[in-house]
Amino acid sequence: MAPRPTGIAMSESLRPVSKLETGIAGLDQITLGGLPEGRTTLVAGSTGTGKTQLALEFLIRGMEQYDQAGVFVTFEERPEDIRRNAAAFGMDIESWEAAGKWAFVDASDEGDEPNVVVGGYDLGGLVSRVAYAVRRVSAARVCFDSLGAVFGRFADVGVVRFELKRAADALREMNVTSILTAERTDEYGAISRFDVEEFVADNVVLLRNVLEKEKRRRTVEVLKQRGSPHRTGEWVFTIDPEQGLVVLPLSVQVSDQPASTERVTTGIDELDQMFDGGIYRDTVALAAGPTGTGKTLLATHFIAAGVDAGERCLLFTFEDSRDQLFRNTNSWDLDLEAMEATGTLQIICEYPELASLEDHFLSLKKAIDDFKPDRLVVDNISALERVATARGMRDTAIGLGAYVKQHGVTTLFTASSDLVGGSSITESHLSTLTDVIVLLRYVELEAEMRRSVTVLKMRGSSHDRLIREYVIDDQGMRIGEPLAGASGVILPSVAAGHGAGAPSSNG
Amino acid sequence: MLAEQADIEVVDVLTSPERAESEKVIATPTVLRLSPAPARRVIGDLADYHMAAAALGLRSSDGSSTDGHRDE
Repeated sequence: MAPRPTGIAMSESLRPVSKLETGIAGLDQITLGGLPEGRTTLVAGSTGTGKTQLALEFLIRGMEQYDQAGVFVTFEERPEDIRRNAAAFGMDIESWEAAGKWAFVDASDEGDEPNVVVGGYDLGGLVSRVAYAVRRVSAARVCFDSLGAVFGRFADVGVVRFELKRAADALREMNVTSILTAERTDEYGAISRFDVEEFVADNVVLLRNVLEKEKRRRTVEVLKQRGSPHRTGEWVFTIDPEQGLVVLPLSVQVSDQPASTERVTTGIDELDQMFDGGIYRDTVALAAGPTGTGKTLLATHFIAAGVDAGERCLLFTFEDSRDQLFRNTNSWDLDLEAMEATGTLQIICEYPELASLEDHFLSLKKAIDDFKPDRLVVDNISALERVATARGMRDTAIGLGAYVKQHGVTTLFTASSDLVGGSSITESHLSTLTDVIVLLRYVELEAEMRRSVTVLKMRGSSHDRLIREYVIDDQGMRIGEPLAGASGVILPSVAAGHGAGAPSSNG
Repeated sequence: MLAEQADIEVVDVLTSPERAESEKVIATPTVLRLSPAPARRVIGDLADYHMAAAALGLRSSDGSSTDGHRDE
């Protein structure tokens, strides 16, 4: 069930290298435990990919989560600018400096005097300053930002390379783990402009900021880590104003918790019967259907049943404003407003276009972490397709599914499908990770448009295979008898992944 | 020769890294002319005497400036 980049790379040297957890959300998962301890990792990317952010967070997380002191060697930005950037994330570098746990080596300029080169030189001053700063604060982490600025300043590339290697070796002697940032000119070309990777760093992480179908995607890839396994492929990340850099999906582990055998109600008795007594507590369910078939209604029944049972419920909607939602649900005699007032229900309404897919994923995850729901509804996940690429959508869907599964949240996603078919991007991706799929359909029967419900799949249980009619009235959704004479109407399955229409349906 | 004209302090950055830090020295050797103003900074082993003298704004023994080109 691991998402796309499933491979685990193991390089030729099998000598185990201990790793240092970075503390950056998600990065430690894809590196399988962090950066090689006592080594230098090259972080390369084109302009605006977040190299400096990653370097800065490497030090900040070290301070915050592991009480490890850090040294920031800056060739580009001035220390006061870096302090200010960190303050925007609520990090007070100055207080760490005062406590002797953080030091800057300011190599951003060499004073105000003009700089003239006469004869040969090395970067001994830099190397000794870095070593001195590391000793002074007993640093466990160092970052250098960035190589391009060093090479820009000192014309002798050979000298700079040699000196960087010297610095890296000195840090290794002191068992300090370091990050070196470097510029790339294009996303899929040479690792860096200066061919430094092969002698400075056995470990290379690439950051990308790719324009794909008019959408920006930031990705991180662990290209190599000598002597230690890591995950391969590109992983989406985002830079969140509160949480900083977060690599998605956050969890690539399949939950090893035993599957629940406890059944819970969907909120509709007849539907529970179709499931042979309700759905399992750790179910991730998908309700798919075209507009107007009652997906939001089904979701509202599902929520109301949770609230009735005293469960904490979280309703995340990309469809309606709060007012619209209350108005619609009141017409079915389901009072979400009153449920929310009890505190066991939280409703979050978001507009898909207002944020990127990654950011929506993060706010969903944060809401789950904060509210700790027993039940979750996301209505309607197809809305995210408006801000996502197919690939991003798949990653997000899988990441989200894995996350709720891990937390044992009874979850219902709703998704749109074409009027009769059923093969939207979301559905085909979601169907592989959902335990239960319910299809809502329009059926044209005897010159009348009616609605039908089918349980397409239920993992680990028998279920009703009949196609039943349902009606929506002021009592909500009521499911009735099997539709007679509707054979040939029901359509290729979602799971099968194609969406041909039925001959007798409106197409 | 230079000693007669100037106060020279030699700092070893390996034993006094704090001085390298306070003067923001990266490359070694670096010569800093702190006075007279304006301050000047020259990187390298000063292998070319004339260029070095010019860069540091030193006066030669006959009192003329080395800013121009002049033979030994």
